[in-house]
Amino acid sequence: MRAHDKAWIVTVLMGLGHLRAAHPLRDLTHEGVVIYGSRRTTPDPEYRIWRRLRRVYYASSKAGAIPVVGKALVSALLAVQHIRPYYPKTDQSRPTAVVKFLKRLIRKRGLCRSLQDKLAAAPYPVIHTFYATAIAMDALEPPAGGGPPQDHYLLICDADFNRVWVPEDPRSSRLRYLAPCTQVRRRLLAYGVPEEAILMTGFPLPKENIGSEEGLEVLKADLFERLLRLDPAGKFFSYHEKSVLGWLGRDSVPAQKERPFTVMFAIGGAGAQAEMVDRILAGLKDRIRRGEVRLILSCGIQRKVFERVLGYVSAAGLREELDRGLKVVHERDVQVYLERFNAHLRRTDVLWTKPSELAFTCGLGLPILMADPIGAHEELNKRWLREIHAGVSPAGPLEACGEWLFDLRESGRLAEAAWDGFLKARKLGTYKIERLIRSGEFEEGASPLEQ
Amino acid sequence: MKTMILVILALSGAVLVLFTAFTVAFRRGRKTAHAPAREVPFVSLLKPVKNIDDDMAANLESFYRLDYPAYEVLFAVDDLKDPCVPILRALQARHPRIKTRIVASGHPPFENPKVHKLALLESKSRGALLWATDSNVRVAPDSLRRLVDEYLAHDAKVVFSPIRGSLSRSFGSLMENMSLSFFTSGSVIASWFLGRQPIIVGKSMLVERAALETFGGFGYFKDYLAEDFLIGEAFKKSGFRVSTNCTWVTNVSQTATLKSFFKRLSRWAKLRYHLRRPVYVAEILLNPIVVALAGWAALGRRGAAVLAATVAAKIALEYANFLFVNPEDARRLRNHLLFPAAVVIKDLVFLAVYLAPFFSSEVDWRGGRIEIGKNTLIRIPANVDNLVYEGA
Repeated sequence: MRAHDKAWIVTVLMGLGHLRAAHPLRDLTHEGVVIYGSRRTTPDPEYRIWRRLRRVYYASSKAGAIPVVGKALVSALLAVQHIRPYYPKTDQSRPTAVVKFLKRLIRKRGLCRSLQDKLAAAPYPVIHTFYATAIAMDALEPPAGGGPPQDHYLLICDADFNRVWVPEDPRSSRLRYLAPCTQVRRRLLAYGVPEEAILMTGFPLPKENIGSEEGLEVLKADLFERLLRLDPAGKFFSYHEKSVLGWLGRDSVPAQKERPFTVMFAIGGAGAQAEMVDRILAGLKDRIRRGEVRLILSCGIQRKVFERVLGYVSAAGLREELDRGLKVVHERDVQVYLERFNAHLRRTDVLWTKPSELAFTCGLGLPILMADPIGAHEELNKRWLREIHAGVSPAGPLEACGEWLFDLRESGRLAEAAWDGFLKARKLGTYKIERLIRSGEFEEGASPLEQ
Repeated sequence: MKTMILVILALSGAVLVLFTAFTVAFRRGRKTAHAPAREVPFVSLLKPVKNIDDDMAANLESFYRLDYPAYEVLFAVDDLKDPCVPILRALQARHPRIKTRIVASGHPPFENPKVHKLALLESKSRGALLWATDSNVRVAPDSLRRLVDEYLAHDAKVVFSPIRGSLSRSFGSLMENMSLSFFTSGSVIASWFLGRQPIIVGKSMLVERAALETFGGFGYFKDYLAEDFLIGEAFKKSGFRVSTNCTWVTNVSQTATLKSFFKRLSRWAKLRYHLRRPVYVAEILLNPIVVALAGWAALGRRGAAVLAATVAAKIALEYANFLFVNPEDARRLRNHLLFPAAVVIKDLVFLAVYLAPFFSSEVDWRGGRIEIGKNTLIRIPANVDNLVYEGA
């Protein structure tokens, strides 16, 4: 692999997942992250294809909330996104109908044609966080008179994924894959990707939430404080004290005392599950008023979602708590939003979200309280979170979250999930990818502090 | 076909009768129940200004004669070389007891210039309430007190106003003022009292600072051209009370030409088109003269009679509005003589204006051309690096 000082980072706006994966890699870019498929980056005939794809995606993300027909629509969505069972192990390299449809869009409708021209402007390697742009660049003939072909990497954004992420004939493809976890490597092999094309980097997490690659200073300090807040009764520490002190380089655990903790509920980028806020507020409002818990409602970049959430806050009579026990996070600009979101993550003790790409933030030592998944890939993200014990399911109805959330905390289960996420999930994805681009070298790392 | 045209005309007439009835009935405003006795809040009057409007000195002077004990006036201009600055300085000198500030805001290339000014003024102001008004607006001495009464009585976070167009000197101004007093204010009042839908026209809105700060201040709306409408919508959706007691403000238009009238109307039409397309498409039905003209052939022998009756009815409705809502203009004989022609020509201009958004998304505003998209989002050229959801 050749060394480069910069790279192209190419993503799309389909919810926030693919953008969130691209954002930590922005230091590698020479002109910012390319958000392809937006009006600004994509010429008109092709822009319309992207707009249609985006509309379908956003509508399907919110389909579950539609009365009567919602469940049927979600079933149809699940059928399209279906991911074949991994076991028993079989060869799954045969292209599906969706793979062929994507190929037709690329060949016949010119999907991503203008991206090729844009990327030809500088001979840097390209990291894609969405399959369509990567597969298109792999499929299209390089422009005549261009330099040597660019290296293209596709970063997988889930713990398991559909066949559409891999080209029709993966063995003849030049694409390399950046895998966030072991199951992704397994699945890539099952889809026919050669082993040497797979790099087990981990999912890129924000460096500002980690600190340096060698020291993980920020992550360790935040996690230690978080564990103290999540374990008021000392149950977690009674089992894991030595392990925590050892890995985090501490001498002792301070005397425990009751202190408020912070829950962040992250609404999907497409606005999915915003309606849950109403019921969560009903369950937590008394505790918020008493200062026992702080709630951050992260609304993404859609104005309508933000205003709807403010409406729920008003209806719950919690307007006075805004910027005290209750914070509503919203930004119009996506890059600014992601920066603010990451800053709030540092102060968060429990991340409540559907198991999207945010599942990988468990590597920062955040327990994931798992809302219902949307789509097959999120079902499998949920399974992965369970397997590594970093995900916790709600223990009762949303309206009673003021009861079960505190019970989960009291039992030490949330602290345990935070700890397991830290130890078992990879957290150095951003650094590994940066080194891969800048030096051409890659080392997977062995211990939890090296991965 | 014939029946359909007659039904449309009847429905259109019914809506326009409502517009007339509402504007006439509420021409002196609505009484606000007595507010709980408490100290009146300090109000900052925010005035984004550019160039010189008709009778500008008198318009601005009216804001210094308010029957209200605690307020300040803040002006924002692009730069201090703006020709209106001497007028502002003279006002400041004439009224030393009312704190006045004049600030230069610059002209942002890719933001709503008015919102840019309002956001700057908001940061320089100290009032618990912010009253944003346009520079071509004139108010009665009791206006602010009445708006604050509504705020106090109903805990309304935004209090908006209907607009009376007045003081016409030219034919273009007469049409512009008629359109504001009748169509604009008719829709504002009718949609509020019938459907509790706030249609806020930015010529006057009183906003509670604390509520506005929940959104991050005026800056939240900087990417949109129809900030006034979106403020109403955002406040309402977010559970903040929006209200009006029909405290009218007067939009002074004296020298408008047919061209400037057309430009202003077509800008507003494009905004409405990008805000609520289905409602905009249906708007043509509220132009009965055009409907009757279009249906003339279908109505056969009776076409001419229906058209004549429609024209007469439309003139009568607008005339009633004119007499009661706009007494200043009704004092001039010339306006009465021109009135029937003004109604017909205005409605034909409305047809041309109506079609404009289907062909262009560009609006002329304050000396620049701005392209707008969904919800009037200002479209930014490709080389500017930021991405908002609706821009994708």
